Amino acid sequence: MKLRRFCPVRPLYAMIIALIILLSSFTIAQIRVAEEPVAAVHFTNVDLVVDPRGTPLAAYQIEFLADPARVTLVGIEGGQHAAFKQPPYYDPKALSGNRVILAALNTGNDLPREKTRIARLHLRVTGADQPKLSAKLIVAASSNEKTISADVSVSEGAGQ
Amino acid sequence: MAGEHEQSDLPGALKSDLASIYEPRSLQVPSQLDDAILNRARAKLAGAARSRGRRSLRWWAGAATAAACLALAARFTFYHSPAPSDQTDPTHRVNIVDALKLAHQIEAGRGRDVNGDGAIDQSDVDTLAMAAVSLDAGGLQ
Repeated sequence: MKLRRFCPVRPLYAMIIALIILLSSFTIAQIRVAEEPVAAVHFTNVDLVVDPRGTPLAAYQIEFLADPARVTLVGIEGGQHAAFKQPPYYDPKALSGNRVILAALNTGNDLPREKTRIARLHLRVTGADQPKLSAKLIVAASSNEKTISADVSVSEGAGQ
Repeated sequence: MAGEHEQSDLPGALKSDLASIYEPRSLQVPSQLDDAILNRARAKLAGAARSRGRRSLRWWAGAATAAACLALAARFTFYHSPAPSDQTDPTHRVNIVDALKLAHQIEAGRGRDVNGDGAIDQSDVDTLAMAAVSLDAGGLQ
């Protein structure tokens, strides 16, 4: 078996070529980053509205979902009616995410029976277009603890 | 008797020659040969013991590997199995209606200590409500 002699020149060439490729890739990446337009970021708020269709709304649980690529949840406010004025229950981990489960209850007698804003969500949105937002009712109940049907919608918040 | 008679009639020289040929003699084995045979036997026995040891080691390694594979398979098979629950509906996840029911019970002077702090109060309602909105899969059941 014939052994090849170690040649120190070849690894040197290989290193130089690798260095050139590496530097050129950095340059290309920088050019591409510079060419990409900076997406506009703005803050907005949306209202979650529940219509219990005439039945006193004593408790609700809603899941809100937004476009993960463009929307970040940054704050949660309470609702319009006195029964749900306080901010709802939510997982703090939802802040800085795009998904949240909101829930609230009231054991009093002054409960909303008509369409009412139950929470206001503050969002950080990337891009100028309206992001995709959705809300789904998980459960709603009246004061007798029976589940009820209700409509949920997301509407553009005040001060837009 | 006839044989004895004939044997006794043999001449003395022939008798001694025959005796020297057929008489049993004690065999003298050289001690070097004896030692060599003994050493070879010992070496063979020691080799067999080592071989048995290696086979035993391989067997235990195989058994341990098989046991580890079985344990891993069992772990992955049963990992997602729901934990046994003493509730009537093990698939029921806590929601805000459970918190509403507990709030009503507490107002009526009943209820249960959900968070285990020794008191039955609003914090138990809060615990249930927070479990309802938890983003972690599963939540309280």
